[in-house]
Amino acid sequence: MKKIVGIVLACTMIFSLVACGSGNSKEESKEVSSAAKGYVFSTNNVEVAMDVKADDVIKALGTNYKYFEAASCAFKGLDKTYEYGKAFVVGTYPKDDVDYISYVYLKDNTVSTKEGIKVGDTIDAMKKAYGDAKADETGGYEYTKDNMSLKFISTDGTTIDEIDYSSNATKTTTK
Amino acid sequence: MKKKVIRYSLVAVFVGVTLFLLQRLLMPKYVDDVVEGSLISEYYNETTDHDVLFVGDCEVYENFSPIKLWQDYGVTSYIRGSAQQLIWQSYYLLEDALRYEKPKVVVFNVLSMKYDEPQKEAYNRMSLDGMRWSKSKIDAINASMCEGESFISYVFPLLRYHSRWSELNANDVKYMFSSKQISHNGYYMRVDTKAAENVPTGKALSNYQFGDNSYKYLDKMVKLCKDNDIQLVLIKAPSLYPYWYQQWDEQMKSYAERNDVQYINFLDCTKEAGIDFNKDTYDGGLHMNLDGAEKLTNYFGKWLTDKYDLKDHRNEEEYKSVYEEKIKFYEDMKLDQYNELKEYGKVVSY
Repeated sequence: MKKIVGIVLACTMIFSLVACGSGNSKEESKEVSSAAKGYVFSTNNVEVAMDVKADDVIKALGTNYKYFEAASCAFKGLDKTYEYGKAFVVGTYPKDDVDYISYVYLKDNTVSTKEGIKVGDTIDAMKKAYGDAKADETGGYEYTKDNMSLKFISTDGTTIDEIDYSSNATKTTTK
Repeated sequence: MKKKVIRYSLVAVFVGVTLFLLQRLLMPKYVDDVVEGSLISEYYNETTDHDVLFVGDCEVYENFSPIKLWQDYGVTSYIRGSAQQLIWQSYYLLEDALRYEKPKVVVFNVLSMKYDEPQKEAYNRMSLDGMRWSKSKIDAINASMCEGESFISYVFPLLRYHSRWSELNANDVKYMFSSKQISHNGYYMRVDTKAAENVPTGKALSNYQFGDNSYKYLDKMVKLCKDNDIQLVLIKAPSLYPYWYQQWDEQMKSYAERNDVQYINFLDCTKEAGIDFNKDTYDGGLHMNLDGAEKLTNYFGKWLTDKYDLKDHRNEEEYKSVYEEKIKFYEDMKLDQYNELKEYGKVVSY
């Protein structure tokens, strides 16, 4: 009888242990931090860093935005978009009922990165500010830091069309 | 010796049954929230075949109503849709469906062409866990896995869902061996309204070319349809978000011409279909509500019946009683949702 109980317990333990590391069925993201890390976008003395709580940042940026929200089909909560005129767009993602900054993209030359690069500048100027980089397979130039990415989009290979800050917290990679 | 064999056999059976029951208990039932997770498995409950089969993401299962297609044209159809269904999943779901029936027309929504590689495990699970085991499912899993996923966890989902024990509720017990019908031939119904406002335009991309992997599976889908004498119709549903780029549209037009298949971008014919984004969407332009889905279905149904030899089955006994029951379920859910809307100001149970 002891043997039987032992076998049953062993099987249960094996299944439990093998499973460790898996999460639940809801959307999962890697650990988020409330401290600003990586490349940070700054405008009118407001810092917008990836994976920080969005509420205070959105309040500080003012109310002159267009708001859009999209429900996810895989988890509870909303992906939210705040569009600040033609200058830039801020996006958030939900985790445990709290919204975090997911991305910022700069659309025109009225705003620039902290390192002084704006839409319309050259790729050479970008390399001077951020260091040498090769275009990736989609033609973008990407700099990564502290689990976030800063990407410069250039369709002609010489002039910057758009600048994207994005969190890597919810991204997965191909097996 | 004989006693030992019997004892070990009993232990093995006991362990097997226990693990099976645990697995049934712990697997998500998709009835309380994220109900889209149950769509794929519902297909296997069908008792009649279908002339038109839709495959694709939420832009098919939230924008077209097979019941309306039946009511207006007598065309039988089913939507094998799931949340963020990737093109290789659509391909293998189609391959899987062909084990059971041979539709005359297959409709594929091309938004997923934008994803050239696996995206998120949660979406994979909703497309794959509900599939019956077959070579198609094995191939779909292998094509879909993200970093950190393992094939064995699809074979034994208990390995994946063991940590759900702390989230279990009464429905996990209630639906251990049964499921709650969510869809209407794959269509997810919502009757509420939220007008489309401030829909963001697409951000600039450095490269608008769809990836090789996406094209590989689109080629496979074209071939699978041609080999089975099925007409393939590529569509872009009239969802305003995620943004559909002009450059993507041109690629699809050109692909359709090269491969002699049809392509319809419904974003170009919303007026013709009578869709009003102030009234006909329930989530700000991403998906149609029931009114919008019925308008779109009526419009598409006319196109389908004009273009292809699709029979009106409404007077055929084989289908009549089946669809009477489906229509009752459809009308009951519609009424229930409108009642909730009246009572709570929003749809709360769906």
